[in-house]
Amino acid sequence: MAFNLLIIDDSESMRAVIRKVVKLSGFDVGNYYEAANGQEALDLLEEKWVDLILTDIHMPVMDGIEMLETLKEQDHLFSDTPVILVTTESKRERIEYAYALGARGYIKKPFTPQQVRSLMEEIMDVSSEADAVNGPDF
Amino acid sequence: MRQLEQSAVSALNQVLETMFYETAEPVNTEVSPAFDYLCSVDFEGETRGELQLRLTRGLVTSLANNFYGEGEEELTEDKLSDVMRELTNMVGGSFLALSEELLGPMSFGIPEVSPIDGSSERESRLPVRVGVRFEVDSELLELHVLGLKGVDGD
Repeated sequence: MAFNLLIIDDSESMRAVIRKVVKLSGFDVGNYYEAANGQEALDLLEEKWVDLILTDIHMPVMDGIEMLETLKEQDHLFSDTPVILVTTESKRERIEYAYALGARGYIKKPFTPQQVRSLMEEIMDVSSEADAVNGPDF
Repeated sequence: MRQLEQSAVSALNQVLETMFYETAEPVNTEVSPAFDYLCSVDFEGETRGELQLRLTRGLVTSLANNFYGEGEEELTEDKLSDVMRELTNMVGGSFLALSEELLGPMSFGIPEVSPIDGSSERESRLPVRVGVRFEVDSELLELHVLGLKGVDGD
């Protein structure tokens, strides 16, 4: 089964690298979509169907936390879409707040294709070894 | 090795090995290379500091090729700057994560990249706490950590 994936990062390079890493990981993606910040992502979600979101936290215009807040507050159509944080952020309280807002996973930059694939499979429940997601792995 | 230095060296290697497929070997050399770029990121918490990387254009090009998996001819100046910002962002983030016990929670700012051309290099008023020179892919790279007043990382 292929999933539509939205990659949100203000760095075009990082979006390209995340896309490359996801391809290398072998995870089955239907369409790739990209946004440079949370607002662009919300705009894109008005028009496209997305199954999984990978988002940075630190971004101009609207950061990843504000986007999660908006998704939660507005009872958005995509409020239940799994969101994975891909970030250099390591402050525990910030990550925990993101989880409280509905984030389902956390990948710290730098990351390997294996880490990306294993978390995406776990969250999308496509691995035979998938377990429940219990929280951030700091 | 002092704790701050150890964290900085580990952070650099963690990022280079995972995202750029390179390793950084600390070197002792009297040769003072002509670096082309200064990358820096500030951090702030109970104290404040800055992490700086100095790189040659040759090394940036090589790292960018590894990062994107593209040929050199496709690398624009914007792409090179973006790669340096990402490198600095990840090294800064990893350094703070590895030093959290010593430094406490800290936030870090937006990475900046500037060319080193003898006139425009940004001066920092903060004292240098860590300074290590590395060899990466046969090119030299310098890493400095500045500031962090009151932190005993020795």
